[in-house]
Amino acid sequence: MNYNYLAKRTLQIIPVVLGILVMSFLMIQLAPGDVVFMFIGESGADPEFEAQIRKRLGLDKSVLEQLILYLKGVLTGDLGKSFVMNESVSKIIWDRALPTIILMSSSIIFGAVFGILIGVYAATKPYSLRDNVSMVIALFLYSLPNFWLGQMLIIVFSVNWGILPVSGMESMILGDKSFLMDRLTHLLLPTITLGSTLGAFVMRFVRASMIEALGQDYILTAKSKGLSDGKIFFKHALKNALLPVVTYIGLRLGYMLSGAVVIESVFGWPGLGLLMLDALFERDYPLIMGLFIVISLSVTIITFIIDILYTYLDPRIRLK
Amino acid sequence: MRNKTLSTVSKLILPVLLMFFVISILTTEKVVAASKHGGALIIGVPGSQKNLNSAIYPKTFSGQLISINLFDGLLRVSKMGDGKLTPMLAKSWDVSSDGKTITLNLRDDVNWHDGKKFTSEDVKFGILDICRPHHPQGKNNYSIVESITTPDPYKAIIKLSKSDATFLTKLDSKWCSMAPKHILEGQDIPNSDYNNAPIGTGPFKFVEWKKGDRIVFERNKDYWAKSSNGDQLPYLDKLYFKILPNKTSLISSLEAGEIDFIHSYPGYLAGKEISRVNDADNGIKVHSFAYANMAFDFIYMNMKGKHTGNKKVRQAIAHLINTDEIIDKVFAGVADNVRNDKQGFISWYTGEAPSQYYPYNVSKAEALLDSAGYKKDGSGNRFKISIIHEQKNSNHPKVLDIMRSNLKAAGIELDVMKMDASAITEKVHKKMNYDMYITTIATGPDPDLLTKSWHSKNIGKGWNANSSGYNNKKIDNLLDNGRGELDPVKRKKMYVEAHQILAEDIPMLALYGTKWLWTYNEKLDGFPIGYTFRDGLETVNWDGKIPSNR
Repeated sequence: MNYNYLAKRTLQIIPVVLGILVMSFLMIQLAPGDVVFMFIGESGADPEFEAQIRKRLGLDKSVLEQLILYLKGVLTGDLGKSFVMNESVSKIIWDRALPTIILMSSSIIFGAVFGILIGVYAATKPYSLRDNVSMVIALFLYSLPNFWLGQMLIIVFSVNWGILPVSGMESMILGDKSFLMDRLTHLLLPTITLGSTLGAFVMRFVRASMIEALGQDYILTAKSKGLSDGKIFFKHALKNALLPVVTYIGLRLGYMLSGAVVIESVFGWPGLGLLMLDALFERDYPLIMGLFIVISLSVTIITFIIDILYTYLDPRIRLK
Repeated sequence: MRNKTLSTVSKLILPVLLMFFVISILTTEKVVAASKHGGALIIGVPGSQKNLNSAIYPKTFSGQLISINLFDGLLRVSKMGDGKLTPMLAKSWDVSSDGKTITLNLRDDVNWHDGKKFTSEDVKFGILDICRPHHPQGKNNYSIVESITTPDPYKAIIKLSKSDATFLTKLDSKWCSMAPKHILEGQDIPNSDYNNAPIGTGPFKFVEWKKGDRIVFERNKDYWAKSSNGDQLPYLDKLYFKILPNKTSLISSLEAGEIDFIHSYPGYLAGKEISRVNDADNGIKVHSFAYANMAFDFIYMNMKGKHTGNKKVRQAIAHLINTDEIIDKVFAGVADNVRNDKQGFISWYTGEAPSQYYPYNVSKAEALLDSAGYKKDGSGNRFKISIIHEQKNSNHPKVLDIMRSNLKAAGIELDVMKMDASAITEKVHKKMNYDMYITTIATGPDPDLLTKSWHSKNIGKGWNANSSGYNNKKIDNLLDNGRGELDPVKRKKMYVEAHQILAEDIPMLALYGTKWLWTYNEKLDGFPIGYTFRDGLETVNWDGKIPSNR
């Protein structure tokens, strides 16, 4: 392990996140509209009340002053207090992170397993019927808008057949259902919806790199040694074919987080995506900023982990 | 090989069939008990909530529906436009002949959810220390309160600096729900933890709030109110509010039986959805009701606008909009036309419609435009004008599609702009830099609410205030005098006159009255007429047919 490299990469995260912070802080200010409206509602208020709210939220200061105050807070680990929710931003994000982690993990596992299985299956006989059908499925899945697929799955499985729940992470009233079963049934549709695009891409990746790997000399050697097809596919070819897939899944995480914003709203999944949507509509600046920090940090850290993972998957790669 | 596949398939079939069997048993409803009491209700709400203290938080549609179950007001204003007041925490009241002293006689059997007695001290504290400083409309509503004295625990005397015909209506929970002095005294109200888990006197008690997911209340067994046939209220044991931001999922959840009731908010259900839900034979029906304080969709016309500043242009636009077509195509008939000789936008109070209502008439509109100097050019166009609508309302884009083709017929090109509420506040209500803006406004239950949108003192005063910039001294006087006038006959006359002037000047054009839509499971009973988002769910019940999963 090259510790110099690790230290360098860790330090690189700081300017990246700081840059994202300053940029997003300024960009939020560009959006038309006024956050104070969210405290007033449909009945309106008099200007004095508005001024009072503005002062309480610290919006009476200049943008630069607000930015400096905010950065000071962030550096001391204080992400501020939500404008509308009467709680600290870190607590709100912490409470809502678990559902998103669960949904993202299950979607990645679903997408990867589904993609790898079909990809390998297609690659075993390139340009055959099975290959063509698999690729049409892949094309279909990644052309579909996620929210539409989600709605269709809800209509078929929940409304028409009544076998899976429409929304939420658990039943309001558990009754005599088992806790685990209830959670799993709630997880199924959002997982398929969010994981399908990933699955489609992985499918194509695996197929292409499998076909390439299967044409290599070491496969011929393995065949001539009399190894079974299964061993050749899974032990020799797939192991090498997976390398670009791992990178791809890592890169895809950022997209999946943005997909979660839509999917969580369709399925009423109480995670960070839904929180982000609420925060944006309510102009809850501290919460939006807090979410930006958490999301940009996690994407950077995950990319970093994948870089390290690489050295294990391919011993030829050395970190410098 | 084939046999092997077959045996694998047959091994799989049995567990799958078993799974379906178990699921179907779990989801089958069993009918139990015949009492009206008991059971839970799951209500779908469209947005996440921020705060449960209805005394200080903006009255958003779904927010009010939730928190009002925890609280009571001093009295309740009828929603039918008859100005009737119903006792709540105040069992009776007297108003002095000069209208400046109001004596409230309170119920002596009301407890806070923590068991402490509700007394006149709470009334004084609630109005002066909570609602007046912390409710967005508090200053407007209670600045005329000079003092509140509490001669005994169940009597509160409110002294006003001047008479106000509308003051009693301000004691409705819409404007001030009672707050416990023994808990809130000395606290930093906007930042108090109380706002997340409040204690009220209402029919339900707070249990749990899982942010972004659910809010749970349970029955307040010691609630003071009884139903008209003597049943102890509330009927339901528990209320679950399930947060579902996506409109389609909200309806799907109801159809799949996951939730029992969706409360209305403007534009949440399109016309064709209403007929689809009602035609599907699954026990779910959309019920529509119109109230006197019901919302009307208005088009604000900017009095300083390049084109809308001209009265003839405003009148021509009014003649061009085909309201019947809009009601038919967008609302599937579930809306009231308020542009005819029978109904205007405050006819629920005045009892008559203004003489001018601008029926759909393209040639009349063209004549008005010609005489205003807006002649057609070579390609048949006169001018271009824009209209803003709020993104949340799903009906307005369809209304504006029709309006666009209506205006096109007379050579006016309509540019439709979608914005979010806070951008509209800035552009329309503060800077007043716009041509037209479509929105929903409740005009009742007291016509005094019109002051906000038409009195010149409210020009540029924020959300849905006088943002057309209408400045008419005669209207100002009528509205001011209407507020102070205690004689109902004289008062009504003033509003008849104001209605007529506003219909002629059209600072805002009323299009149609939208109806409140409640979509719920047909097994439910007890949604009273007069129920709107201002009232709690204490009378709602399963009528003895509680499903086993509730």
